[in-house]
Amino acid sequence: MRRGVIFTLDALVAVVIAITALTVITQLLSLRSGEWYKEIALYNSAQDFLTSRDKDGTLVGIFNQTDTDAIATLNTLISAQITTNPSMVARINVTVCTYEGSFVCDRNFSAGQAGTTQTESVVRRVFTNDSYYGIATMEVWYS
Amino acid sequence: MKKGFILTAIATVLFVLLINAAFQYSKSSSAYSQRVSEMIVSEKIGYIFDDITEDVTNIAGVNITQQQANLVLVDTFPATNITQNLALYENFVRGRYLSAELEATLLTPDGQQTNLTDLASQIIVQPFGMTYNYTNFSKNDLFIQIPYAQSSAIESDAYTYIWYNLSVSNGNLSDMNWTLNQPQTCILGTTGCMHFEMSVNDSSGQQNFSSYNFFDLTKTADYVNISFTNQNCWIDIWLGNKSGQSYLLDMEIHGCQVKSTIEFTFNSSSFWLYFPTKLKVRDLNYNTSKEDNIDLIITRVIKQ
Repeated sequence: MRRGVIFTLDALVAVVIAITALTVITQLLSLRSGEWYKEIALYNSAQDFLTSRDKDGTLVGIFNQTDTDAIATLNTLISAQITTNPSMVARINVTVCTYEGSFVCDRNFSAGQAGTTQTESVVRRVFTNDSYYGIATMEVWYS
Repeated sequence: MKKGFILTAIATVLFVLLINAAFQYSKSSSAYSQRVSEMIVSEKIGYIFDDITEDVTNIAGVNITQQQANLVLVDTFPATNITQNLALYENFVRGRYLSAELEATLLTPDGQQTNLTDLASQIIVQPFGMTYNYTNFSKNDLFIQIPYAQSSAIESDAYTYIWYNLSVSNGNLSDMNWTLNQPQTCILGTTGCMHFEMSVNDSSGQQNFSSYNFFDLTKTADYVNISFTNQNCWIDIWLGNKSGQSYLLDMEIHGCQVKSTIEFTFNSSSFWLYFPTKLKVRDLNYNTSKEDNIDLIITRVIKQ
């Protein structure tokens, strides 16, 4: 009887230790290979998208487009550049301002997907053609 | 009893080792997160630096293209509101773009804080030490200089030359008068001897070419006055040495609307252009920053 209790306690301690060890290892693996790399990948995707759209004139071109046309253009480009990675989803918010003694920002629109998750990356880009000033805010996350 | 004691001791040691491993892991994980965060912050600062630099280049209004060792600078004279546009852009960036933890500062070459309205109206082409500058961003003149010792970096032979093209949108060309001090006396291949082509297009589509194609940086400048019919508009150009200074081009514009295209062929395709004014972008939370000259964005064309 006493021996049985000791064996049971011993086994319990072993199980506790095993579970603790397993938890630590799982945490280690998930953190090392998971969230940070994913976050960097999201950040780079958003940054690459906005940089290339600024340099090829797409962002400045928005100033001369209607919201509908601009959204269509951006949706096409997001599909071509971001969502080629099937697990990534993106949305871009654009604010356009003019200077009338102070900056008036009365034009806003969004393209891409709605919704978001905990792991997302947000990158901004400023652009101007001397008459208008714009800020594009890109959010990229995993679906 | 003895066996039980040994087993308990082993279990305790193993448990302590496990706790220690977890603690070490926690420390390493935290350091790793810190490194990743710093990496993202560095990348973010570089990105913002590039973003601002790109816009400043566009506002300055110089279009720069490189095709291998050829550098083409396209500019418009005179310019309107560049200084005002730089000021508005700076306000917008500070007020609407930069988040609270980010700071962007403009610095003079000697490190004094300044703002974009005081952006140096000079572009430096390195490693040749060539300068492309205006008196100010109103752009009523243009001065291009290169140190004499570096002038051989510009390819200048029978087939390679500096190309100056001026397209004038207000008026028909009436006259292109040359005053030549040292016409065609320099020997190609000697330091300071420049082969050039100059063409002027007027608003009627007429194109005139320079009758002279050589100047020497050390000799008194050749002068050309370009004037236009029925316009209170003319352009003065000096090529060579003027008042002790050597000019690849000294151009003063009086009332004309001019688009200039100037092309150099260097002896190397490795060159870069910047404003001597510096930009510093800093993340206040991480105390990480990038400080450098404002590089001009160059469109690079792949030769067919």
